[in-house]
Amino acid sequence: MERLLSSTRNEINSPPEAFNQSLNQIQPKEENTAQLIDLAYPRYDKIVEAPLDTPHKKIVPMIPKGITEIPELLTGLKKFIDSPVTESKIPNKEAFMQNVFPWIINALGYAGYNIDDVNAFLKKTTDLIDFNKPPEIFIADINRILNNTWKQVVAEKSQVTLPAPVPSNESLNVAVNERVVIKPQPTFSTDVVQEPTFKNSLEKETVVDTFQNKFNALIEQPFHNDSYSQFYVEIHAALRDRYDSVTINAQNNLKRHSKFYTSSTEKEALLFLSTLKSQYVSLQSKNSSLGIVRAGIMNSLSRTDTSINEEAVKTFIQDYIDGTKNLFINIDRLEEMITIAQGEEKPRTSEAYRAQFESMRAEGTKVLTTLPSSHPLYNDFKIVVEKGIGDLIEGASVEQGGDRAIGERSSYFISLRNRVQAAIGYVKAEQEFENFKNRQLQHVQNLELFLATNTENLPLEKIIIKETALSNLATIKNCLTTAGALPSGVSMSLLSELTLNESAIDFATQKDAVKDMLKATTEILKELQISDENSSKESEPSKRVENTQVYPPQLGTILRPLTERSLQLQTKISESSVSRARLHYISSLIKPARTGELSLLAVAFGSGQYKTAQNETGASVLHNLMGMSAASIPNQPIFDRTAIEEFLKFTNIPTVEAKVSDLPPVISEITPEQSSAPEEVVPGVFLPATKYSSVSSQVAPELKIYGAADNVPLDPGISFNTPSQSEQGAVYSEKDLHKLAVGDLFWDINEGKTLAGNLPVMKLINPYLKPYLVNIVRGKLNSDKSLREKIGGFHDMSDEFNFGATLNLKILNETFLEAAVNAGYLQ
Amino acid sequence: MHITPTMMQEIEQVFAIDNLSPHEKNTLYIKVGNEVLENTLLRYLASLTEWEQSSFEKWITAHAAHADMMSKLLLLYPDFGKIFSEEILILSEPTK
Repeated sequence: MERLLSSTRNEINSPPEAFNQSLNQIQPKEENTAQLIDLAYPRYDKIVEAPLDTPHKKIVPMIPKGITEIPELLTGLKKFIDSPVTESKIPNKEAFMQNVFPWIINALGYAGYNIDDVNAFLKKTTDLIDFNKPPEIFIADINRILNNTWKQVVAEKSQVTLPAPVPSNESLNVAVNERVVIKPQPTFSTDVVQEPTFKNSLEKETVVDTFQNKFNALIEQPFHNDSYSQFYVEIHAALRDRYDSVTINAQNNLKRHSKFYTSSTEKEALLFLSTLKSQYVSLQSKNSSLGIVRAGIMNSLSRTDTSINEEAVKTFIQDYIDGTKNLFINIDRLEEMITIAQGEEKPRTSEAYRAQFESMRAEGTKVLTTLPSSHPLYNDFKIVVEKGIGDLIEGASVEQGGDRAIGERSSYFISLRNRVQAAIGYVKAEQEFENFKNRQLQHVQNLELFLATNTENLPLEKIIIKETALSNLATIKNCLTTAGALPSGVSMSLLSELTLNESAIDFATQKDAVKDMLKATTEILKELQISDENSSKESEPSKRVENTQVYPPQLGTILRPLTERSLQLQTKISESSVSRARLHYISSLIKPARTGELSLLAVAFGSGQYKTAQNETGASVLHNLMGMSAASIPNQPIFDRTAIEEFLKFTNIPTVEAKVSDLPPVISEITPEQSSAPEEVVPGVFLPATKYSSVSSQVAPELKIYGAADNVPLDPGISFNTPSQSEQGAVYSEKDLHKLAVGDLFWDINEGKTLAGNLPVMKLINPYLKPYLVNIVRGKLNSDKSLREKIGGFHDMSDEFNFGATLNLKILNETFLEAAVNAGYLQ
Repeated sequence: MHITPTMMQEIEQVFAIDNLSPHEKNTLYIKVGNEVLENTLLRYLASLTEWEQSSFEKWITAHAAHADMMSKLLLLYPDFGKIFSEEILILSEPTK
């Protein structure tokens, strides 16, 4: 016994040489099972089976054909399985995971299970072993499973000499006290059809025909859900079995050197395999015709009211038989193709490798010639193409041992080949993306120039569209400028690594994003009745001649800098917090034509091309013109100075001086009616007259328009006085009242258009403190019923509005004011 | 000082646009005006908080129909007027 224990310990401590390094390097956690499986297989076998043009392979070869070439592997596995696990070596779950788990994986891999099944198997196994129990119990469980299950599994599967269908996850049943039962592959019940052999098309057709015959017989019998359900399962099981068999066969026998080996049958079979897979997937898809049929069957059979569904079920089943028949025909065809392809002559492995490496060198050299020597990756890439691929070709040569050399150094070849491929692929993609960027940048600039110079005099709605398009273009340009930039200091080696891990720059996605944005912008341009094509043509020099004919050459002195400055600002807009739509909306409301006149006058004065009798400067003339522009418009009413003063109280303009000499008509023409009316600063909200600002006097202060050369005085701050009792008790005008309507935004001042946010006192509050002030007031309202009633418009809480009721904005404003003072937000 | 019809005629001669149709002249004024206003607004709005921008926009909207809107604007928002002046005067710089 002691000897046996010692032997077991040695086996566990000293796995066969082939695994020593691998097992030491890899933490045998459950998520690493796939990696362990990879390592469990002899590399020679893997390189023979792995298609060279497939980056990774998900299906493990059913039986590692090269296993006998590494006898220690087979011996080690058998020894491990034959030796019981001991308590001293496996005291807990961690020890089990470290020392036993990898061997189980190897055993199952050796037995030919695919990764998914191995994972499911292991999960179920570990679930069954309770490591919280005393060690002697779980050790006994482990050994019981080892003897009853794993040993049997490996022994049975190792007898198989041909690829067998992969058992589904559901087919693995593991129990502590009984051996793992791998359910036999689905077969047809004997009373339906004979188990299919699928040896030739005649027999295969018979299977489907037999299904049809059984169905015909079933229809004659009284309808019963269970009968039809069983029948449907039989059809599907037969189809699934046949499909699995042929696809695994195809994957194991096709794709080999498919990129270099020009067997027409093999290529055709590969294409057909893809078609067949699509057909089968469509059977599972809920949206496909067969999928709908299948769903219909399941849905109908699940109902208890059979009288309603009988005909529907029969129709579904018939459709499903028809669909299955079509799939069977295609499966047969594929199988025949595989047989033919297997008989075709194939190149030696080393020859296929060499051809692939030569192709890579040709491609790499081509890319290298187009890569500027200043490119940060040029030197690295040159080494990859000239040295890396050269090593590969030399290593695969007959002189170096041919197939044997590749077999022995398979991991080296695969790793180096993948890295070189990744390097070439990355540089190619990067170069293509650079070209794409340059083309698109030019295109965007053409569009911008065109929009900036050829879309004047647009109505408001078109201006907004134009600005949206400009905004899009700025975004695209910004994306293009920054997209695809190589991180500084990144080597070719690292990029290859990143590319292999699919974590390098995703050029395709970035291209798609830019294309999508350009497409969206083109759609917008169509709304302006400007197409991409037109804009490109219009931006050509020959077309721009027409513009200079419309605008005289003298205007070039003003239009050119204007356009240039505008283009510069477009970039700034995209970088600023200013909404382009808002900017141009406001711009459209201010009389641009009048501004244009002013501008031309100023330019004329500034350039000395036009002089007044007083020989004024451009700036002084501009000041005067701006100050008088409104008053100079004939038959226009003069602005309401009192209303402005009311507004000024809340806009915190401490001193506004006026050049009275410049503005006599403005002051003298104020009408009493206008001066007494409160200013409707915001539609629907009237600002009442209060004295809670630094501008408390009703007497108009002096007004001044600040020019470029003037020093605007700094804001001295807010002088704030607590309201007096008399003011609290003032009689409010109707303009202080607001009728609450559904849709009114009240509290959430972050929305920017709320009633609370527009209260006069809020202009005095630091924007960062506004939400806090709102919360304070809401709390006050929630706790003070009399205040709610005084203000009006509220039910029991601050957020319960009585729509249609009238709310006194002035009292609310005073409440805010008091709260702000108490909170220290105002002094 | 007013922008008198005579003054405008003389300015039009300076820029050789006196032969343009009234529509073409108006288009030109709008173009130049738009550029100046946009440049001004960009600089001015960028100096404001979002709330202040919103407030400014509301004021403009509420007064857009007023003939004296520009005068009010320049009175109430002196910083806007300052930038506005600068933007117009910048246009004359390349011609100096």
